[in-house]
Amino acid sequence: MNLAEVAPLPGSPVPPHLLNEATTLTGALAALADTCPDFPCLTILDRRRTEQVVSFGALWEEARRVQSRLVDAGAGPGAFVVLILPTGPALLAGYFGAMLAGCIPGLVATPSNRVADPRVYAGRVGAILENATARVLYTDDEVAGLMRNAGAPGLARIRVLTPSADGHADVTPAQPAPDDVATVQYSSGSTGVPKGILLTHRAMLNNVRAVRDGLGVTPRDVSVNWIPLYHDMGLIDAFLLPLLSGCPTILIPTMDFMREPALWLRAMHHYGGTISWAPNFAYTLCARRVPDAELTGLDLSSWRVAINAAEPVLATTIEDFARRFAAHGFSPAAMTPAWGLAENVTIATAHPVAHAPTVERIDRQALALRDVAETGGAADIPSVAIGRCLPGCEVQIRDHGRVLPDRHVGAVWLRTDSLFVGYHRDRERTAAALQDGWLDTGDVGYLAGGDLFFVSRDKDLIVIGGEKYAPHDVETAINVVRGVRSGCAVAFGVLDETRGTEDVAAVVETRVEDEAERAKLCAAIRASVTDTTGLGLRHLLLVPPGGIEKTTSGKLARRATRERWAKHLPSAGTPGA
Amino acid sequence: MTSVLGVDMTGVEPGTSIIRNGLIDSVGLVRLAAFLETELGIVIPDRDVTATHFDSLAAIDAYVRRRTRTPA
Repeated sequence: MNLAEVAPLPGSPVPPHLLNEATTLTGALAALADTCPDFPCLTILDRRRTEQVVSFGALWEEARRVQSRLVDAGAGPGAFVVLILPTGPALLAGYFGAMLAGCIPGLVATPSNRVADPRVYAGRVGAILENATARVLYTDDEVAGLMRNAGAPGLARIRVLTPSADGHADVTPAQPAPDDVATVQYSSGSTGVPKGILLTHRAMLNNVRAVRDGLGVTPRDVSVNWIPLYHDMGLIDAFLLPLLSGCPTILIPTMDFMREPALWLRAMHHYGGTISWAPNFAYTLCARRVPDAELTGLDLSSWRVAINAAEPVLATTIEDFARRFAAHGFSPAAMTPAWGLAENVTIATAHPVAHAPTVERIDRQALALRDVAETGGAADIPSVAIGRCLPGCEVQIRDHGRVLPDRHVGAVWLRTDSLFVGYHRDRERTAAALQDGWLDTGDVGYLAGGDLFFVSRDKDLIVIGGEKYAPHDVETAINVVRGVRSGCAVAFGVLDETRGTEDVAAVVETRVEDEAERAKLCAAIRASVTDTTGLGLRHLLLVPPGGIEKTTSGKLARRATRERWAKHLPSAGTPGA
Repeated sequence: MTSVLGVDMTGVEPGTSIIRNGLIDSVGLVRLAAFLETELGIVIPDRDVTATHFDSLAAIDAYVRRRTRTPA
């Protein structure tokens, strides 16, 4: 199979009204399998150029078989099923199979973050399984073996199933109600165990339809993606949106993109891809790191919508990508910054698709001193518009409950018909986030003439390559190192423009003064962080006692600490940096 | 290797931990493996793309030698 050739897929026979009428995800797939069973809706392409093609009918049949195996394994209505598999037919059928069994599927990352100790990975998965009180873990032999070798506690109570040809289609599928929980989406919070975000069929379908309508997606679109399906953008925007909209849906396993980024671009060319979703770092990666030799004859003129979301969108990234790929037919108007969060299923805003991104330059002083975004003045910070509200979405900028006018910076609150119903087994956190139908998103930004601009995050999170990491985990790893003043380490993200994403930085208190000892301490801190979290500590600053800022109640003040030591850390020319 | 990773590797000692020092992240690690596969004509399975084999120039050297001897 030659990716240099263009091989347009057969036109979609899916009638658009199917998605409009769908009230549950399983009902939608049933209707598609009934109406267009032979349409080759899904193609999984790997870096060996192997294609696995799956029709609606085949996906449905496979899902029914998984359903029966889950039921036989004791997973009944309302049971949580955790799925850990790379992108492929088994994962997709497993996801629907779980819903057909009346279960709640939750997709979790494969051990692709291979830098960390397998025991740390197993511990994290174990914590998720326990929080979900999962009945079944549906995974492959590699992960099953890893979990058993690590002696993950609680695993004995869980049935572990691996994909097979077993199962039958005789068991009546569950008929969930629209307001039943369809999926649990895991998202890193500020502490170790990821939060389980509960999403109903109604919310997920509302978001899929809002995105479809906002981006103008039709069955004539061709969707090509490599983002992982355990990420909300992956599951919903790369898979469910195009699938249920009737678009040919091409999926590339994430690891295969990482090993050959040009594969993404070649696939867009080969299939005539019109829509694709990626975090900012991926556009920088392609702009700066793919050799010309891999782009010979590449034609990206079919690419209508290039969504840039899941992490801050950088002006330099937009420019670099447009400049590099203009010669290959990429239209600057295709780049589409967007914003949202898993608590809203996926995105809530997107930049108008036929328009190139809007980048304004605002004054750093006005921002820092008066929390306003003013163009003019020194105009020294580039600020990228991350979208206008999708249908059914409303955004407010608030300061302590007060709604702020345009260009005033504050907390971003969101109201839509696709909000989550709560965090699993965490009423307190749910109550803090959802108030009177509005969601406190934890992001800080401003509105200007209907455009939303991101400034910073209120929640202390590190986002690298579109994935979230808890500073708490990094700090815990630092605190166990001898020589570190216990409880006196803060970690945070620092933008790296050359990679288009964040690096990890830490400020750590110590009494150690001897230079040689300090060097050893740094090495020990770095080893602990990498071995435990898989992250590399790019910037490490040792400070004397009292160097870490704390709140009046004695809690770590990460932002204040970072500002205090800003001169010793790289600064990036973006808002909030 | 500097151009592959986009990081200045001059002056990095053979034993320096490149992952722990944040010189390379998980994305860079995978790209490094891909680069070595292409340049050296070896096969690196996904499961070998770990810190154990790639966290220092010395470790990379040792791993590559082993893969070159046993291509299976």
